[in-house]
Amino acid sequence: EDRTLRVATSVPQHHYLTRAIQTFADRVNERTDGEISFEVYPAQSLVTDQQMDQAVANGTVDIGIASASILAGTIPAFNIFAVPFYFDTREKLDHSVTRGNPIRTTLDEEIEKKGLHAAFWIPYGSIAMVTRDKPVHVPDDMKGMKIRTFGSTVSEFVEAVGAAPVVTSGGEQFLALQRGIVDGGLTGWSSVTDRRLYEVSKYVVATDHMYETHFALMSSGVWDSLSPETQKIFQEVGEEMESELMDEIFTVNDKAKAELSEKMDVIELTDAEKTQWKEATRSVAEHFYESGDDVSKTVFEEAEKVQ
Amino acid sequence: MESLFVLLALLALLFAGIPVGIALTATGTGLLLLKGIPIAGVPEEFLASFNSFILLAVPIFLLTSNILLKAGVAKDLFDAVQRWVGGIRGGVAVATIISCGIFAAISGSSVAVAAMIGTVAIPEMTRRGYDRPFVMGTLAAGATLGILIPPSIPLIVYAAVAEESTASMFLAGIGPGLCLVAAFLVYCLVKSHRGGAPETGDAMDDPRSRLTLSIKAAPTIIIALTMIGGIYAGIFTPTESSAVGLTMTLVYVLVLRRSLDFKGLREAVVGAGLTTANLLLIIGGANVFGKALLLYRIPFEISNWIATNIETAGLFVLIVTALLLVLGLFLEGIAMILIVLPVLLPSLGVNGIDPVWFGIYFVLMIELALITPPVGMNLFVIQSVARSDLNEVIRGVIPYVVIMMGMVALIYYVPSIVLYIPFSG
Amino acid sequence: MTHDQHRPRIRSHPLVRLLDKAVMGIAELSSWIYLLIGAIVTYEVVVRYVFNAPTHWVEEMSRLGMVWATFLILAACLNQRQLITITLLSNAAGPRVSAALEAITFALIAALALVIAWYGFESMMQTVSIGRRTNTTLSLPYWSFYLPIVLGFALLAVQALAELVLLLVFGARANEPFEPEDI
Ligand code: NA
Ligand code: NA
Repeated sequence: EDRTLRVATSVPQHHYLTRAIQTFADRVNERTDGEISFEVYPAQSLVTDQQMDQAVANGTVDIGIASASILAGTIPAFNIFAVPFYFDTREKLDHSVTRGNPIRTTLDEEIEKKGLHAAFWIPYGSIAMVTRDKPVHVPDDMKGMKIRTFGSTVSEFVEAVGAAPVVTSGGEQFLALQRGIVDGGLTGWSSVTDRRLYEVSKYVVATDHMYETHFALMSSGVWDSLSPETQKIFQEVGEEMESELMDEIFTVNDKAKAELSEKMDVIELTDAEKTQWKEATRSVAEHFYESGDDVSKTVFEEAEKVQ
Repeated sequence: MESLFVLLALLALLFAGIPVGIALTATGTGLLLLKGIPIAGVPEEFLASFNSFILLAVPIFLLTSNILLKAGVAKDLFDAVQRWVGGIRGGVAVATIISCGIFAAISGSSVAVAAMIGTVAIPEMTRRGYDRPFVMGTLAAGATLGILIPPSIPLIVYAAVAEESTASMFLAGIGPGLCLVAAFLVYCLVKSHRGGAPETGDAMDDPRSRLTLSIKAAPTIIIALTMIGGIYAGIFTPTESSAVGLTMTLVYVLVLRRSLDFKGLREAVVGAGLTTANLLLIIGGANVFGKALLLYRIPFEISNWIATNIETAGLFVLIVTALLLVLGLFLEGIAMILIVLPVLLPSLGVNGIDPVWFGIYFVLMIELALITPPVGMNLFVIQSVARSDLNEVIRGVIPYVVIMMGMVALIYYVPSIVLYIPFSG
Repeated sequence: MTHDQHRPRIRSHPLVRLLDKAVMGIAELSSWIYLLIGAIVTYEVVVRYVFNAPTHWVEEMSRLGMVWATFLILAACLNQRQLITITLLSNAAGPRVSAALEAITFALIAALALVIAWYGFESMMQTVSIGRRTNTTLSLPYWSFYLPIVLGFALLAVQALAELVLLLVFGARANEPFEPEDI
């Protein structure tokens, strides 16, 4: 079966995510002796991140790189990764998001129920907070600040410490910081370097309070149309990539921190400070559990077990 | 080869008189079908185009312009400016350019400026015996400032397509906008002294004092300064700036000035609605077309060709200028951005052209398109406001065309005119 | 603006007038949405800048309003011949040729609008079946964004088909040609 699959990402060509799916594509292509090839459309040239799941569902693309934050609109249980400090160590991640763990299995099933299939999960790393000109160490420092956020649970985190969440489109994020429309913003470590946020903010706080994951998302239709041999290759390559990338994100984050420490103040939280943050944002976890649907409750209970 | 066919097909539809948005959608959909891509992506593109907080500024700026036009606010401003500069030879022409500049700082479109200032300035100048082509040319060209000086609808669309910050684009327009105002003023003075304006100064018949007139005109200037100042100071984003400007304008014309009745407001609202949907249909269509181009990798083919054949930024700009001049004869504004930009965008990086600079350059080319025959919207508007002969307007804009070409050359050699303000904060 | 008195008589047929009224009425209501959005966005600026209390709803509701308003005005653009067009050659062509081009335009618009409305409907049903929602505090169902695509393009298709019938069967053309861009 000779097939070409269209792949779309919403980040630039040399971004970590595009490189990850490109590596996946190259390996699958090699192991299928060229039978399966890929056309990669990076930088939302074909699909924006907001539309990614829909574009996969209606067949505009065969594989789309979507984030848990976007998918959480449809499957609220994905907000579990935004519950503060529940997935902040490698150990916790190894017991939750890697294959075979109950959280992973439950969420994969939810994806299948929506007519989609995650070829593999792309580990992305933790979320940091940049601030324009105010060093933040403890939750009290956040009082009255305006913070750019994404997603509903992320906003709750900001509100829990007395700051105000501001919705700004990705393109205006740099400007909003530069001009002071917001005082800070939550974002991935790689975005701080890639979007040159260090030019417009003095500090980056290693809150590392939430985990962000992405998916190589396919529709069930496309997945089912692949031969069993090809499916097996997808699974094998996906599995090896997941474990390689999980190692990589920790080095990538460390590298980003080292690089950034020359351009801005990197603020690491002490254990005592971290405890204060956990205390201050406990309500987010409670709210997630209480207002969550059955699946959210299930994954939350599982997440409690790995704390 | 494929790319040539695609572009020819589009041009054929366009010149057959098929509306631009429809032609783009049809070509794009056809290309998707040929490539076997599900056309479920087409409504998706339209939704993604319309579901945009950045483009939301378009209807709101249009609404503000329409309301100012219906409320007859331009006369207050024009009278005040004229009271200050009217005494010199050619004073009304000078007042016209300055008024265009100030209204450009509120209006996002140039046709709105042409209609607003044209209505009050043309009678003033013709009554005093100004050279008619000079009058028409000054208005047609002066009004094009509307899209260079922020706010600007073409700059919003450019920012959306090129994924640049709208605020950067707006701030980048200030420097060249002021330079162009200065160049126009110099020309007006020279032309007036060479017989374009009557020899006596243009003393006004209006007995009111400078202070009285200035106070009457102040709200317009305050609104303009708030809108751009607020963006610069980081109080709000461009879309929010449009909303603040609209609210201030409503308070001004409904409460302070009481010069707009419900009928006028209603016409302004419906007019802005129709223009918005009209523009967004093109934007949606262009996005469908753009996605199809990408699937065929046409922009990459073109940028590869440029990378191997066009070795300097200067040559690239020269060729694009020629292309836009020709295209601008028939087409203008948003349509020009949406048809050309997706094709050229990947090529900018090849020769190291700054996308913010390119946006301002592009808007200068659109300004030219607005005043070049056979299709130039500003020519038409001034012709109809003045009830004059189109040839008269065309003769009058020729010197301005030369000045604007000079401006293109100037920003090419001195790019900091464009880039200093947005990147100095 | 339209000058109904100059239009050929068939355009004053009750059915045609009903369509005109419906299309223009919907467009007018939709246009006011933009003014409303201007007001709520100003409100957002004030509460954020003055009271340091940004809202959860203004950004998303403005986009939703923009989507509804814009799709629902499309048909009125055709009704009023406000569709940006390169008129140079078609204006220069004789009446028969330009009528033929107009017929092609209407047919093309009708076909495209039907296709888009149909696929928009399918997408909408898909979002309903999996319960797709925005990941924001409002958590709006996505169908609220897709429904206006369906309604707007369906209305545009009806308008285009009506124009086609009027032109082909009754030879009735509106007074105004399509127009160049006025920005
Ligand atoms: Na302007
Ligand atoms: Na022109």
